Amino acid sequence: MEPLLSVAGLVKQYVRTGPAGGSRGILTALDGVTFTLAAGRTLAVVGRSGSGKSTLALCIAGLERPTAGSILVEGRDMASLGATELRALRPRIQLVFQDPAASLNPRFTAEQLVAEPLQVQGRVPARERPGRVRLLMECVGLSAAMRSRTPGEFSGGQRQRLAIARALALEPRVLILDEALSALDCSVQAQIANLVAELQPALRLSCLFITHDLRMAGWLADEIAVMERGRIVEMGSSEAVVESPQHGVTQSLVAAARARGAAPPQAGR
Amino acid sequence: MRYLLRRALHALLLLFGVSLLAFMFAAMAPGNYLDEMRLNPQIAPETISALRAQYGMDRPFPVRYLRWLGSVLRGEWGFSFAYNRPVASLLVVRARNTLLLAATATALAWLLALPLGVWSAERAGHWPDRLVSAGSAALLVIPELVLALGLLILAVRSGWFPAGGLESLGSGSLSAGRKIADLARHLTLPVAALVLSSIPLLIRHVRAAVAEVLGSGFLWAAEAHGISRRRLLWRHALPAAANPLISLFGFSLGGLLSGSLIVEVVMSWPGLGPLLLEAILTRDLYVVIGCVLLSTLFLVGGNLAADLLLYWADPRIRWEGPEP
Amino acid sequence: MRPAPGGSPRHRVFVWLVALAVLHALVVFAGVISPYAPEEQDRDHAYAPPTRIHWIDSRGGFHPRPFIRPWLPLEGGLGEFAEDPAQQIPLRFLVAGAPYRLLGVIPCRLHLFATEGARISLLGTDGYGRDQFSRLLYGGQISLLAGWLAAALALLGGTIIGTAAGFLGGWADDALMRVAELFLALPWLYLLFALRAFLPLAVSPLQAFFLVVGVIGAVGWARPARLVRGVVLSAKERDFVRAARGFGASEGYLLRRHVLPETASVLLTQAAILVPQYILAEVTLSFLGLGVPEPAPSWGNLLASLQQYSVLASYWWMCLPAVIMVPFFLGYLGLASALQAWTGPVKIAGGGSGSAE
Repeated sequence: MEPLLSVAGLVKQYVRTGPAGGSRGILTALDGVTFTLAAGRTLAVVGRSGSGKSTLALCIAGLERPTAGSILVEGRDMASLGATELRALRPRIQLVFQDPAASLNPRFTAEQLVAEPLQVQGRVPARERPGRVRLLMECVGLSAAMRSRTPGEFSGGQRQRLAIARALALEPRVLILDEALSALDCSVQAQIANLVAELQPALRLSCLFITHDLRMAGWLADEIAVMERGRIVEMGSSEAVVESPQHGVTQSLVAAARARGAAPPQAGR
Repeated sequence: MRYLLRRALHALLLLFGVSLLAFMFAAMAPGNYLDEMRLNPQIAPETISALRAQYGMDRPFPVRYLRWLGSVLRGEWGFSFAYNRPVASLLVVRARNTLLLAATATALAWLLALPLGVWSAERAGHWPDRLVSAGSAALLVIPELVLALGLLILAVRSGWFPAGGLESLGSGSLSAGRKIADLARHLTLPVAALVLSSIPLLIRHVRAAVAEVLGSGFLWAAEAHGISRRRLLWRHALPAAANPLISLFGFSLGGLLSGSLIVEVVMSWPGLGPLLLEAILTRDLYVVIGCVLLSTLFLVGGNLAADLLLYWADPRIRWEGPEP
Repeated sequence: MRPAPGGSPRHRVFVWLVALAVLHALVVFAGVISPYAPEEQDRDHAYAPPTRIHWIDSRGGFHPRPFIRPWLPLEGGLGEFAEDPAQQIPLRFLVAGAPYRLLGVIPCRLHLFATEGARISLLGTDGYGRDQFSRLLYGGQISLLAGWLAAALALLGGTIIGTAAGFLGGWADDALMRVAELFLALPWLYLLFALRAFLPLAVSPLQAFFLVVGVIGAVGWARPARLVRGVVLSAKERDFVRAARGFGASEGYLLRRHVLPETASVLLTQAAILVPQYILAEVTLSFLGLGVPEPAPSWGNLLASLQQYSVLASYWWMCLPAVIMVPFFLGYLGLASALQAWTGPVKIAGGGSGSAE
């Protein structure tokens, strides 16, 4: 089967600017990342902060241009597309950010927020949008009665549900969750994780789950890739990586996960 | 050292840019100002055509600009058609008077603002602080123009101070000591107007900078070591708060120069301000450009002096340059 | 530190806004409040002191309706006046008088107060016998409007240029900010004067008004441009802008819906700082004869006669307009500091020099 998303030899470099304005060397955030993601599957990318996993998310979401390498989505290379073609391809891949308080414009109402992608892409006629918004909000477990509230009037978990509803509005094939659970309380984390797990088969959605929490990754993902210094240092099925970690970084992540609490959240998949 | 060189180069480029900007505005001015000069019977037609040739009035903009630049380098700064002499010879006298006024006012304003600011920062929330705050807020709302007029009325009504000018009639025959006393009497009012109008912002910034240092905690340690309160404030807190204040010094000069423009005109102090106004009314455009450029030079010079001071006061800058 | 009443910043903004609204109403409704047209002359009463309002007559009787006594020129006096003890002219309220246009449009004759038989001048008269009180109110219309329009112009220019610089980035940003630096490097009053110098001097009051507004606006764009650029630069990197870009929003849409609204609070605070500064700029220009010329009244040319030594020395009431302007500046200063406290810190002094990058 042809993979939905296939990333090969991805490199991203930033030019560091010093206080004087001159360049002070090059920072390599991604150093040849290669992996594939099949339809309906979940891949977790695990790593410590600064390992390059967030840069990876931004590159795949089309928000950063990679320096080298290819990102094939349904056979088309996002890295080489022009701005117009890229915009047309964007609905395929949607990103949920870490902090919903920052990724939702505080001036918008819930309805405006969820309707915005539909409006921008001009997919759904204006008069059908309220119905669609209601559907999406109910889909992520928010009452449609809340649609005129602003983000500030929601709790953290509700805000992240709202962000997910917005990400799902364009019926993407790949959903990237960039540390989307880390800012939430433990019990809320479990709720949101369950929500994603429930939605996935129904919407035939592939997930790229980016986290520093190996425990959560093992519980939610089919496969795990461990990143360190812009490279994937270990990749395999969830069980294999969690049960018998090979690389030193993975081992320390496993230890960290154990220390945080051995018991996985209630209600596994 | 590289940092200072870069600042100096930056200042030079800035002056160059300002001169170009001023010249461009002058070029966009409707009508040819030499035509107006032709109506002036004091200027012979030959002089006008000679000037026309010398400054290339009919030539395109770049040529005119380059010729003017050349005359700046020769130390002439263009030609005043109203006074019929090089602009520089006019500017030198006026600039000296403006500098005398601005320097005296700056020195006095800082001498007053530093203790008042430190005092009110130390007594934050208590009556000295409130008194200083209320006073500076009141001064802040009174425009320079109104302040200058008010002081002038005071002078006229009381007769304590001369109502304008630089020196009394016949002061040329006075002895040196009397001359200085006479000058000081004439300086009092314009300096007072400038000090009063510039001091509220200075006090605010001094207070804020010192209050931040006082709140940062390292002084508690010093106090625990038994250093006296006074020594603590003046030898430790103030130097620690110096950096933003030194930058403020350079920038306060700009406000002071703009302020002195009004004060000079109102109090007929023979500085750049009245010269500029007169040049505007007689359309003596090279003089206008000269005044603008000179005021920028003062400001840029002030900022450079602040940079130098900063360089001297803060060893960190010698290595890295200030944060952008 | 702030000359403000207590309470939350939001409450303080409200209080200052109300105070400013009251002050501005006096000027906006100058037609109703002032008894005369600003150009109306009374050459017999040049430099007459403020009319005194009386409640008690010469026999000690109390009058609930106040009255005035007309000024009579003193025999042999050098333009001095004394009250005429023989006359009592009652003040009448809400009566028809000289026609004017309310808000510049609606023809109207109603005046708040008036007298019959002798002119009342609460703030004295000028060298043409014109009522200073009426001139002050009408002059406020010109000066305040000039300040408002110039601030609007500077903010508009600043927003466009700042947004372009911040949003486009790269060489466009560099070039625009270098030019802004040039404008900020000059002592701004000198720049203002210089720009005014290169424009025609002898123009009608209306032309002069727009000239002054244009010049102030043209000089003032640099500071708001720098502030707006800063806000746009930081807004561009906000997650919600990235999110919108992620679902395919065009750059124009991002700018309109997500970036520009972020600049609102900075622009609001800047407006509160710039409006009084620009009112003052107009006053200064007109004071020096470079702004709105006579006979149109403006706060600047109202004060201009004080440049004559004789006026300054002999006619104290000619200074009253200067005193009455101060509350306006107090109002704007209070509003600006309350707005700053409300919307978060933005430096009040602004980056004024090339070195304060």
